[in-house]
Amino acid sequence: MSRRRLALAGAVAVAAAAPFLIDSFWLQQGLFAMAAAVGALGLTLLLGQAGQLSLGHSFFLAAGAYGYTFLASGAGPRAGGLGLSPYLAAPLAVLLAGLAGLLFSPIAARLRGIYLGIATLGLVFLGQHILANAPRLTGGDNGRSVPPLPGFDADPGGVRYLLNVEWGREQKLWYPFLAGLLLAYLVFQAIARSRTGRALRAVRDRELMAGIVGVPVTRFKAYAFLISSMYAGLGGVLVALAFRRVVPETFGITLSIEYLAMVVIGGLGIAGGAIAGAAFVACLPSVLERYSDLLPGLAAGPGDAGISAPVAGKFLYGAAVIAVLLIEPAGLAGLARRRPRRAPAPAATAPPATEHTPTDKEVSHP
Amino acid sequence: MTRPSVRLGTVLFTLTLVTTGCATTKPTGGGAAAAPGVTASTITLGVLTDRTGPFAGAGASIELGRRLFWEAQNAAGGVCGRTVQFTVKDHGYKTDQAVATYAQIKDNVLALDELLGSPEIAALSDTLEQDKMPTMAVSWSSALLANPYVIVAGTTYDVEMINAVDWLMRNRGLAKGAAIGHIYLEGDYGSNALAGSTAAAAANGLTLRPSQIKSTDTDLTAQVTALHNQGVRFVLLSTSSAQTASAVSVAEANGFDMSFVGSNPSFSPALLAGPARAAMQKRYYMVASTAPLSSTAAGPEKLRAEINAKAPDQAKSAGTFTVYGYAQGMIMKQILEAACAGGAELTRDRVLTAFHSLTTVQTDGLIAPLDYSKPGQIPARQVFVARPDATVPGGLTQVQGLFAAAQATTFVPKS
Repeated sequence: MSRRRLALAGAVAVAAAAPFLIDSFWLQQGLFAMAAAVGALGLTLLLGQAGQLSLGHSFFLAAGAYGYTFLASGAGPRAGGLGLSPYLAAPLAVLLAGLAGLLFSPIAARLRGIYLGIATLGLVFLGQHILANAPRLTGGDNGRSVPPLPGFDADPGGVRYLLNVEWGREQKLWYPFLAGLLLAYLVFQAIARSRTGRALRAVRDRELMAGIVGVPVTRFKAYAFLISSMYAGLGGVLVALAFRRVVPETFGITLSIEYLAMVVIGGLGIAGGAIAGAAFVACLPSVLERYSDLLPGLAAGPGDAGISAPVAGKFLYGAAVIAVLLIEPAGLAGLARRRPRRAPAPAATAPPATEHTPTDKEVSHP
Repeated sequence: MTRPSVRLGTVLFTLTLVTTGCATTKPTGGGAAAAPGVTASTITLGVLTDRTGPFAGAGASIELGRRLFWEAQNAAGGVCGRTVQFTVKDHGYKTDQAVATYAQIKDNVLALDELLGSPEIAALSDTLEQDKMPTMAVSWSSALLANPYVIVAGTTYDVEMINAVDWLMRNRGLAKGAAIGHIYLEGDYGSNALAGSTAAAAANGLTLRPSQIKSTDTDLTAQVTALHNQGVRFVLLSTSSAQTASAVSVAEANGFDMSFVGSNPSFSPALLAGPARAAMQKRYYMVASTAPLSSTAAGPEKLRAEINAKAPDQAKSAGTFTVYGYAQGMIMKQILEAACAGGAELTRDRVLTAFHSLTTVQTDGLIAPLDYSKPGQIPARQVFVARPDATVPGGLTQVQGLFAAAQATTFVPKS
């Protein structure tokens, strides 16, 4: 077993133990963070690996979230639904988001940089309009209830305990979320390490050169967009499950920008970075809020002197984005990478492993 | 360059970010006996409001009303022999933030004394049912009535519009067969109001000219001009206050013979400090179940005296939402008193039962009398009519006391 696998196994083991260690508020934060991380993996694949900017990520998140809700809900008086099993509805919703991405990919494959960013921005407004004006599909302005995953919801008959730990909705949902994140992470690594990953990075670094060496540039750009929208679809399903109800306001332009912040702070193109960035952006406001009375300059409650926690959160991750751009363009992942170099590695172990080169070289700036 | 520890580091960082905070916050458990937020000497209620988003002004106004009411009430012995205190959180009018902050406070509060914003209420509505959390909503949409845990303090937007049409016909010369305009925001607020104006137009033989706008629209020249060209003299507004200012100013600048009537959210006292003041005073009316602050009824009189005595610095910004915040306190006090009547233990179930047992909630003229005894029914159907007046507290002066049109007393919202 390589050290990398060992590390991954260790991380998963620690994560799997979390429901026994932390209370349900922090578990819920963790659920939000994991849902965000899946979406962020998709964006970092698109932006970091293929060099394509998308501001339309919240549209595909909405496609996944609403797709799952529609497919898994029974038809009611106010809104329709297909009443499928949630376990079937979830993958179908991911495919649905993929289909939406595929429909847009002819445009995505022909544009680059800021032009693609603006084109995808249009998707968000289109999405908002559909969500508000197709009540049979989306529930309209008041949104819809999200059907829970059978077996992973709160017990109707009150609280149960497992190994002396309160075993409620957050504790149970933790494991499907962890599995979803792990799957998303492994698929990301597989893509990044494959020929496809190399082709995407070639397209990112120099389109013309990539074309000359035989990479079908348009096709790979379309491919990256498709995969990224499927990631967003899975992220959307998880967001819907964590939130219990989907409403149009959740999937606005701010959400797209938050995802962009996640991948920039985490380090473009790096899986672990996207996860760390997602955790940072998703949990920061709540962490600040929780400890606002301990931190200087923060208002202990609304109306007190000082900046309120949500505002401080925005400042902080705004500052983090700027700091990343100025100091460490490789983001949190870059910081993590620096440390081993400063302290000389214990000599005996293997020389710099060569087997991983492709994935770790990819960090550069589009 | 390649270090497996890179990935380990980033993954672990994620975990520590989540876990470190958590390790220090051990579950408060152990209090299985008492209901959340209730101790022998205190009751804690939650407030999820907006202090940094588009409704920061309304949120602060409500807070002033709440503070004044409960300071006095706690000084006079509180409720159920306990002092009432609040855990206040700001969601910035963002749904994800509302869900996160709700999770943070839900186990430490007996009920929510305020949940501001239609999207936030919608996002949390299933969770509120799951947690059996009695919640006082700052929104007046009929759609909220479907949730038995949500307390709507006042008349819903649809009934307000029905009353507005009735008042225009009886007092302002709106005649049968004429056209009436309705500019409404996309979303819950606008669509609920439109249901009312549609019903009223059908019942009174009027032609309704609806015009939907988005929250990002700031200039209503096109809409107002189009309505004018269609021969409309009276326009209903389900808009934000800035949009109201635009509509009224357009009519004024062009010399159109048009008057406007809007709900609570379509007005803000701040408009009377701006360039729209003259036009507002001349052309705008507000229909609402909340009394204007300048009302001569006992409740508003007392509130004005308390503002002047305890918060003179906020006297300028106080308005209808302050009246609402104060009245909300009176309603919550009556619910809590009914819940612990006869020495019963305070639980969320008791609070809900008590809430549904209240047939007439009086607030000394702050809000129309409320009836919560029929779940799913509109709690109040009467409204005041007020007009802007920059010289009085709150910027509104009453022109019509509480009344309800015949149609308003029987109207049943579709859903």
